[in-house]
Amino acid sequence: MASTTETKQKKMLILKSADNDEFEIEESVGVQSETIKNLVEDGFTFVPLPNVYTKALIKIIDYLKKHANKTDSNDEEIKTFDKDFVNTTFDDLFELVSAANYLHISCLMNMLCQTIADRIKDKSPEAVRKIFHINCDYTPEEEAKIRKANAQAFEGQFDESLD
Amino acid sequence: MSTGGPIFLPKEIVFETLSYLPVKSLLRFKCVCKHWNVITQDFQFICLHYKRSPLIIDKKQRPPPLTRNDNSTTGEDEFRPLCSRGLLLECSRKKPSLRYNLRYRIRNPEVHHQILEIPDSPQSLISNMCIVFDPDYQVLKLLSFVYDLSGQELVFGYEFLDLHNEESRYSWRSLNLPQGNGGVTRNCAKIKVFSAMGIGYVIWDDDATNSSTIGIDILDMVNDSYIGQTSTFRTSCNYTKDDCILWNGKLSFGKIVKEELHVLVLEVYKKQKQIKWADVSVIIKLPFMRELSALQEQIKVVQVHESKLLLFWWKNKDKDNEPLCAYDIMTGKVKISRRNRDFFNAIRRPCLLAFK
Repeated sequence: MASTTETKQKKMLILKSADNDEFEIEESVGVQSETIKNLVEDGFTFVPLPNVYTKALIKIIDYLKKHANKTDSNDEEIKTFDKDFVNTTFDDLFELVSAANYLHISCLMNMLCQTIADRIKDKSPEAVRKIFHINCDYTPEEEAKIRKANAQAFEGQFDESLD
Repeated sequence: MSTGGPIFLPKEIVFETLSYLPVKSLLRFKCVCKHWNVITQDFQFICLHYKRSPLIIDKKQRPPPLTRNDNSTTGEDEFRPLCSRGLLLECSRKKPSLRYNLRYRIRNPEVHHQILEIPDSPQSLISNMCIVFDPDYQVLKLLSFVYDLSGQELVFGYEFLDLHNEESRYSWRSLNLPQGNGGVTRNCAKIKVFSAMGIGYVIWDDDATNSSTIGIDILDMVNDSYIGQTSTFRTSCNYTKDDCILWNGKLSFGKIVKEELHVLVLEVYKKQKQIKWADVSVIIKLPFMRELSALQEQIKVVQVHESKLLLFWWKNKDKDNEPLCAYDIMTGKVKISRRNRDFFNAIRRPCLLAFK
């Protein structure tokens, strides 16, 4: 049993980003992604990722390597790593969350969604529109009606900043 | 990053992200755009959001009072909380002299201005009810314990009312109990209900057979049908209603025996309508019990999550100072926090559901 895990750990994979950079990682690190795991089970060792750009892929590989070596003792270390990992701009978070979604890495996906939610929860709807690049599709009358119906949610001051 | 331009998140990621927001933020973000407003009304989203809502412990036992003057309640008893599962079920006596003449209403403490008055059942007398919210199976219903008024004798039964439905039609449907089953009287005041994995477990004292046995009705909460019945007669141990726990989403009896937790799991096969008590108990070693040995008999097991987190508490003379413990079965770590006396009444998980 021990020897099979050892040989497994030595197996390598090549990931290719959308901008054609290639990265070699251990299979045991890669299979934390359901998408990669399915390909590996089908016998692939070369994995093209047409939806993931190099910059996001580098960060995600870092994340996977860190989390592949999770033990009881490095709990604090991983927490600090995760905190640094999500400390970035909204657009970076959006790119990472899209990549995590495509790669099906559920723990990363949950962490990123939770982070985005925490960072927008006290913001005004106007700030949220700008952050998410959303054009308001209500008429002024329609919007006024929704605001009136949910008046209690508009009590107080909201964060207008975009970071 | 490399793409340069603005990044538009696909719908499924927006859906996921919004599910982590507090109710107040979601109500405010309804006006971001039409799509976001539609998401907040989607029942699948409401269930996912409820699952992810952090538990809130109200300092005061009662949830926030209604802000508007509610004239309809003048001259009647105050409404008191009965059951809280995201929504709050309250009841008030129409006339104090009439035992069963109660008015029930549902409101969402997060959305102050809405109240849903629960209609009476046209065919039966409602003696008690509770909310069943099973977000994994998208079940949000009221389950009532009723007496059928049509015959000569009072016949016990169950009725359902959907709290979420597209047409906003709130009416009771009765469940067909198999012949002979309704004959046993269930003491409605003392009924305990668990629900998980689309199945409802109604636990009652079986006064007719023996005061120390309990009966369990098993209901299919998705299809409003009766799966079957069991009782502690079928097991060799003297379990009580207080020993009932949810073990990984299954109803079980949990008892602490020396330094072990013995869990007897009830297996329910929904399709075949089969119910079976496990042949042997699952035994979990609880090494930390050595330190708590003096208190063993008073320890109450609350719940076991995913075979790894055991929640329990024990009685203390100082009622405000009872410990609530979480034992991680995998790592062996015990975390102890204080259990407020009104802990289970005051604890609630915010929900986004609004009535139309």
